[in-house]
Amino acid sequence: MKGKRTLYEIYWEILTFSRNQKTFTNIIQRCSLNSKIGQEHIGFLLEKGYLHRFEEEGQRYLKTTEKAKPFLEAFKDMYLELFNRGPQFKL
Amino acid sequence: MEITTLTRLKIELESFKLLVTANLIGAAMTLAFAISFGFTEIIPIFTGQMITQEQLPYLLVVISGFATAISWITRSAELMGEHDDIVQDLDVIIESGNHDSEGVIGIIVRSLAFYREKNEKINQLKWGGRITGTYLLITGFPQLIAFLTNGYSVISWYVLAQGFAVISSLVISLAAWYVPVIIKRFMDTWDARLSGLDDVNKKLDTILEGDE
Repeated sequence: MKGKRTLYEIYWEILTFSRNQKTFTNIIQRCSLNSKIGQEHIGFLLEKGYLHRFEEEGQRYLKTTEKAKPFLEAFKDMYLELFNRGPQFKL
Repeated sequence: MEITTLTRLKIELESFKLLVTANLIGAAMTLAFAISFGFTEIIPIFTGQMITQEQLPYLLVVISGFATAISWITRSAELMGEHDDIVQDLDVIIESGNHDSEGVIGIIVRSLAFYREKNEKINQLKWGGRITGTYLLITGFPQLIAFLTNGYSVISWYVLAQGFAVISSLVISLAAWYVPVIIKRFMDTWDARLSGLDDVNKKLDTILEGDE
């Protein structure tokens, strides 16, 4: 994703994308993050328990946990409300 | 709820696309008028003759028209390219019939990210409109005077074409002045959303802190 995102938007993207297990490389490519920044964000989400790291057939994967649900739900509700409540732009 | 949001998103994104397209057309018209208005006057320059004092204003009109139009076209095309990616992804969601909230939120997040990054450039488009409006007025007004004072007695294709060019120039000039008003409306809508995000971020921060 291009453009300037907030920290929470990046967390939302990582967590949504990792609902199905993903590798670190998958995540940073999809979320347009460099390796260093990606490591910081993923490290934070692992620390929070929102992501779970595990190994399968010699490959390391990350997957969103149930603990991330309230954050994802709140994010969804608030963004939908924010978008729908204001005036609409149309020509 | 997602379907309402989808419709809203579609209207907003398409409206912005139309706005940028109008900008591109405005820039192309400015380019065309710059050529038609001043180019014939400065042709001698290209054949190696010296520039006379009378040719100087025409040269300035052509150069400034070209510069404005090219810069405006570049800015508009850049905005259009990135924005189009979002529109295409929205179309994929609509066509797939899978209107899940994740896809919709993804488009909202991308639109916000696009606006955050490009709001300076979008703001500059307002100036493109004003400059083009002024430019076309400056070039159109003398043409109008010349057309009205020429006293054509026979209506020919040439006269009709001349009249059409003069009227187009003035109409587009007025339209170009209106573009900044629409851009301001677009920016007000998205600025309101960005300021609403401050509260959203606080709440999300509280949720994250609650999970310490």
